[in-house]
Amino acid sequence: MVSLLLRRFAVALPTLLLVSMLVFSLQKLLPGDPALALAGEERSPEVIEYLREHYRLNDPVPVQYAAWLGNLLQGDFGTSIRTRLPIGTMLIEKLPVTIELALLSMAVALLIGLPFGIIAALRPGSWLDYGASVFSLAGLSIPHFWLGIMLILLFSVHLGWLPAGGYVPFSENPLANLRGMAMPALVLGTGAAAVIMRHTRSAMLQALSQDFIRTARAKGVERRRIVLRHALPNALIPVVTLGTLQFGELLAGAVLTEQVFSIPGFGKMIVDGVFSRDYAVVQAVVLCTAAIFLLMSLAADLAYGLLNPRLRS
Amino acid sequence: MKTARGFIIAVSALAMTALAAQAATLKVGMQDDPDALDPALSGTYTGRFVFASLCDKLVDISPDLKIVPQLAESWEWAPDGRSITFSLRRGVTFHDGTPFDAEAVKFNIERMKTMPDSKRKAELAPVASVEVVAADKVRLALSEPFVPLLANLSDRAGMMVSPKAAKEKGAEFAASPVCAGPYSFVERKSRDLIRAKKYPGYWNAGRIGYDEVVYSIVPDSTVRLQRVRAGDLDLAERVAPTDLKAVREDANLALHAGQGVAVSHLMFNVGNGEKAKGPLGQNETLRQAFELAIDRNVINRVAFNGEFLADNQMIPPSNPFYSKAHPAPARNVAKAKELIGKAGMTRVPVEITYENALADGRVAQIIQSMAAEAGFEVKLQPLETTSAIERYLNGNFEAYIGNWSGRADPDPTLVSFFATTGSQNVNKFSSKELDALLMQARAEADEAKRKALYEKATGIYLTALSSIPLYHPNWFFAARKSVGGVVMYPDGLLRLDGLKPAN
Repeated sequence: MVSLLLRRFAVALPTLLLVSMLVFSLQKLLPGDPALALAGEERSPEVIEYLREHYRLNDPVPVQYAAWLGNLLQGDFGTSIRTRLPIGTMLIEKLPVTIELALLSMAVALLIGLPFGIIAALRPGSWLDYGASVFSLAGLSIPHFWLGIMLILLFSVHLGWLPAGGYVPFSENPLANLRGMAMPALVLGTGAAAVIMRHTRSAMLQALSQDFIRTARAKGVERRRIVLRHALPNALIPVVTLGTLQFGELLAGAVLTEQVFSIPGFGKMIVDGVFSRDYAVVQAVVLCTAAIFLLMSLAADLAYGLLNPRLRS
Repeated sequence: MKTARGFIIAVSALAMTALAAQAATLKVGMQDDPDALDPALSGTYTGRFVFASLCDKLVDISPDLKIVPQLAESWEWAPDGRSITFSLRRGVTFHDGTPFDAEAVKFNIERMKTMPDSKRKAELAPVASVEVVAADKVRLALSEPFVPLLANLSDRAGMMVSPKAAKEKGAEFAASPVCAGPYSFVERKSRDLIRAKKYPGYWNAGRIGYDEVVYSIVPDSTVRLQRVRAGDLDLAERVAPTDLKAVREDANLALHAGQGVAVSHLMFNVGNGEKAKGPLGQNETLRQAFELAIDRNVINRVAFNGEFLADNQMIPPSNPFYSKAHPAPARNVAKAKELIGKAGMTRVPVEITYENALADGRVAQIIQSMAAEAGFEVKLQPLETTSAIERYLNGNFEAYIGNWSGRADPDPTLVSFFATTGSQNVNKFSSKELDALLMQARAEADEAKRKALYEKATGIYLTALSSIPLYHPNWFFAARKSVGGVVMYPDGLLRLDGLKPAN
């Protein structure tokens, strides 16, 4: 186990480095430099030139990259050139928000996706199965943006049960925090639930049709036990892979959902960063997201081990 | 049913007493996260929107665009127009307790003129030096007579920051600005909120009705409005024209509308490089034909539900210097075709570049279909904002939909776009006659004479049509009825002074 972890970390560092290099050079291919985006409506040539000098935009890309990496190794993510706020502080503000939203959305997704996927597989062709199909189709095809606005109309404007948006830190007021997160987590969760449900259903169908299940049935094992102890752990392996990928995606920020509910997470941060050519901000967010993705895939590997004893050795 | 209603009334009554006992907070929804919160660096509308609570200026504008006192109580121009002396309000302090005086004014003007990345240099360019006459008197010497200076000082160039804080914080000033406005900065969470609390030492504290103001960033206009309807915001700035019906129909909301100074216009590249060599860039008559081919009222109706102001000038009708002698020509396709024929053509190709925002896209499509009827083959080229701006600055376009925020005084707008050396003259238009008129107008202290000069200037730029002005956006705020004292200003900024919770 320890050697697995060590091996994973040994791979992770070069991966992160590569990701940061790639993003850094790709950003430089975007037309329009930050000095222009920054210079405001008047855009005086002197100011533009000063900004280019000051932010070292005239240097060759490898030099810029080296400077950025040098600062990063000293724990300095740099300053946003748009807001002049330290990026480290911005990350510390956004990270918990994004993680909380991803966790809650994943909880919603699993609570809906797993049980309904299992039930649909147990009774293929029943009205329950069709109902689950309709739900998953809807979950996949309804735009998050639209669903978000509809939920706001119903729960905030008409019923007045939940705040229409905004974010209150959990440490400040746990209840207000959860009330604010309820709708965004539901919106993101239903989308992910649909995918998880479809995969759980097909994986379960496959597992249930295998010989060892028939053998177990023939031996007279209780149906409940067959489903939960024999079929489910086998069916879960692809679902875990998918779940971790989806969780990673949620962590990368859900731009539209964040926008609808004014949740200050990673999604909006990176979009604004790209539009204003705030390279350092984009770099920082991408690096964080990549690190989280690597951690997630590590978590998935560990989960396989738990689910499948053959992989433990 | 009755008991349920009684219960609800009792609960809301309780809630209201609880609210009344609490400090009054004004919750405002803004469309974007401002950039740097330093008046010398700021370049966004939302930045100015927040400064309206944090930073007082030497002078302000009134709702009818007159210059009125703020930190300066009065001012006097020298007879030759080469200097202006301000008498400053006494007993004013910055949020850190530093006294506001003539030295502070000198520090601020010099800071904005010398900071390498200051965006105020052009606005303050005519100021040659600043002289402290007395603790409450400061004189700005100008290199040339420059009447629009006061209008410039009614915006960020006139905002005073604490010299002590500016020196101590240096580059970090923008992270926690210290000014002399009604509210002092408390915290900023990027892309989330900006919080400010009432400054008890404010010189006009009696007119400040809220204890705290929180600006939340809510990018989507519809969501911003829903949050006001749900009561978790008190006021939303820039409500979309398509949402105004919902505001008008909601009994709990009030719609605050006002004319602005901004303008949207279609600029033609008439002299900058290869792209200026198309027929429209070369031929004034064809540009006049283009103007006749489009109907500004249709643009307004279709793209903005008729809520904006269709107009043919860069300066809006609400401005005292608007030229009534040059009304917008009515659409006339036959005449347009005739002018195209006169130029020896039947089909005129042109490519319109624009920033890929919803409104500009719609406007471009409407123009495309109307102009086609007269014989213009319009190609559309939408681009992501920063890429579009780069092309704009390099003159890499045949036609471009420009959105200019406008200024209180006509000078910055007309000089930027039409003077040969103007900062926005990226299409390289040049007219010696117009240059002379604009320079004369900025030195003319007599309002009637100045107006006559701008009448002439308007005639020239509306004939050359290096840019066809299309419409002026109006400002729309949606507020809950519980917010009293909202007054709309042409700059679209929410003054906190006079705002209070209404019963």
